[in-house]
Amino acid sequence: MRSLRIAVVATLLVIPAVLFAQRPITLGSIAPPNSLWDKALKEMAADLQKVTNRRVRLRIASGSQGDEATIVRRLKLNSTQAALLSQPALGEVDAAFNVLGMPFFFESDAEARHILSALRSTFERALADQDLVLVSWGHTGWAHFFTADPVHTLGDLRRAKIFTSAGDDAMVQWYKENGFDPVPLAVTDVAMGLNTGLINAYPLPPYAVMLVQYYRSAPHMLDVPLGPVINALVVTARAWEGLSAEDQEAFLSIGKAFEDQLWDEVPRQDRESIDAMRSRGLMVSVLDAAATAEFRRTANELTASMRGSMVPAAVYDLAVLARNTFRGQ
Amino acid sequence: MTFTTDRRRSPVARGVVIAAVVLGSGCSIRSMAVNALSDTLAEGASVYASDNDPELVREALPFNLKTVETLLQSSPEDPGLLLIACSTFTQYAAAFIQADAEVAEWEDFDYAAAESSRARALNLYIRARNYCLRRVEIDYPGLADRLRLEPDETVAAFGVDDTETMYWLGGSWGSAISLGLDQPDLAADLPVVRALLTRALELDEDYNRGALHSAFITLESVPELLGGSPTRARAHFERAVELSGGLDASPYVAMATGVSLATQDREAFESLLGSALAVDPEADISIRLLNLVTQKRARLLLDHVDELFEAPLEQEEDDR
Repeated sequence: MRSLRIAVVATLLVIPAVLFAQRPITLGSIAPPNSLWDKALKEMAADLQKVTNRRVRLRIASGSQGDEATIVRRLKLNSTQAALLSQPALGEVDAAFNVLGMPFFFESDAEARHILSALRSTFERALADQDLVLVSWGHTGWAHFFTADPVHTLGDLRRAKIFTSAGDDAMVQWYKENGFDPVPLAVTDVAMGLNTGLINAYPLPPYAVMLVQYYRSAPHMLDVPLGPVINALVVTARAWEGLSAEDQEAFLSIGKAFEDQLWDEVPRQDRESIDAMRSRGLMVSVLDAAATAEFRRTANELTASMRGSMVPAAVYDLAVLARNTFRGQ
Repeated sequence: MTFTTDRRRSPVARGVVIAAVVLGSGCSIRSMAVNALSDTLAEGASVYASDNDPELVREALPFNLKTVETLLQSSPEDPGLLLIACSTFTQYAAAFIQADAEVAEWEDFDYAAAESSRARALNLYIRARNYCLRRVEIDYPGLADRLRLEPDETVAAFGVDDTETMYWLGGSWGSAISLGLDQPDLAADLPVVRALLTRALELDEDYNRGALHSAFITLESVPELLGGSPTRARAHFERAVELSGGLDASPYVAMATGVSLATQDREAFESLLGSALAVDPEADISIRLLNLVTQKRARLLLDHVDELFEAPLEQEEDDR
């Protein structure tokens, strides 16, 4: 009988957690199933479920919720309660996030993370205005220019026909004002554009290029990264407020571990992607230190023109200040 | 994938076996024994394929697989054994181990258990792929490396007798890539899979009553950016159903999970799975096991249809 009693007590201890388990939080992303991001999200979900004794369960919906614009619409309806959104989508939510997409603004992961940390309250306020809560930052990889012909200077790049997302009029305008030749195209037309010569340069992280195989048409990569494609893990305010303070704390803590994991593994994945493409025909243009410095100096002058137009002036100034602090200037 | 293995040895491979016996070395008796066993194992594939108890097969296959690997230690270049190893590891991983991951994830959001099963399945697919590559190297030395560099040009070397090898090589490699997208050196070979299956389709369009068309449903269901096309997937689906006489449930499930899920077409998804469940497993016992396993998956998918499909956005916005 004693063992039966212990079993009953054990059952009572277990039942409340099950009874009070909330509806799962659906987390949308455009990450392909079984990709590094999908696996990291599921690992986070497993950890969160374990730590909160199943009070917080995440349903990871990778690649099944449509594009990011659709996911943002679902967040507004609270039918999707969390998402991993990339910088372009965040820029649509609030222009403050455009600072994260400035070409050649960041030089390293450490510098990018320092600036993200310094501007966190700015970004949190921007998201709060849209009823969203920032949990942590993610990483999609460092975008590089891939070109049909080798690129060694900004002049070479200005002579290229650069793919630009159709509908991103501000970016098209910025490219034109700075002497580049942008060609707006739908993302699904990039392969056709490369094959027909409509475009001969495009910026993407190496992993994405490896997956879509564009390097076979444009087999040169400039080894001066354009910038990190940063993303953010957000939760709707309504879902967040439904969690206890203890569970919110657990979510933030596990979200931070997710962030650390991505900032460690995504750059490694990019390096491995470059190696995989090199063994299959990719050629990498490596500039010497002087040429790289000259490239960045000229690019910096160009991105300054984004201040007050594409990027709110106050946010731009904060980012430059944080960057200068990091660089000891 | 189907639980069959059609052993069509090339004349070269047959010659090697005969020569080994005639030379009468100390190894010849062992070689003869291995060949006899590999023939038995190949013939045994139909015993598995027609079984009506998937759990029995699940429990029996590991012993079968380790027997094949033991024989391969004695005869590492036996083309028949290599193909059996490739096809059986692929089928075991797909039908049972990867299926475990779906159950864990959908039934209980148990992502840790799901990832553990997927990691196992990935490991088994890669092992299968490597056996098929060894099989290919016997007839075409150096081809495995060339495949990765110039897939479209390299597959032209294959003839119609290589269809089965191409099918299993493409199947194991594609399945591995689908689970290992976080491994760049693996994912970079997706064009190899398309090249292999395209060449096989050119050479033997009605291979195994539409098995290649079924594989193409999945291959064409990848996003357009990766070369997929829902239109082409539908054409392959229709041909696969035609060639199988509607007796194979797998094209219906491949179409539902590939195209209907990606396009969030719930009505088509439920209809296709209904068609899969309507297939009578007893109507063609040569693929009875495949149909039973496929129908089990169809039922699992229907049980979780609410989680797999989002409510239409426009409807939600109107409700507001």
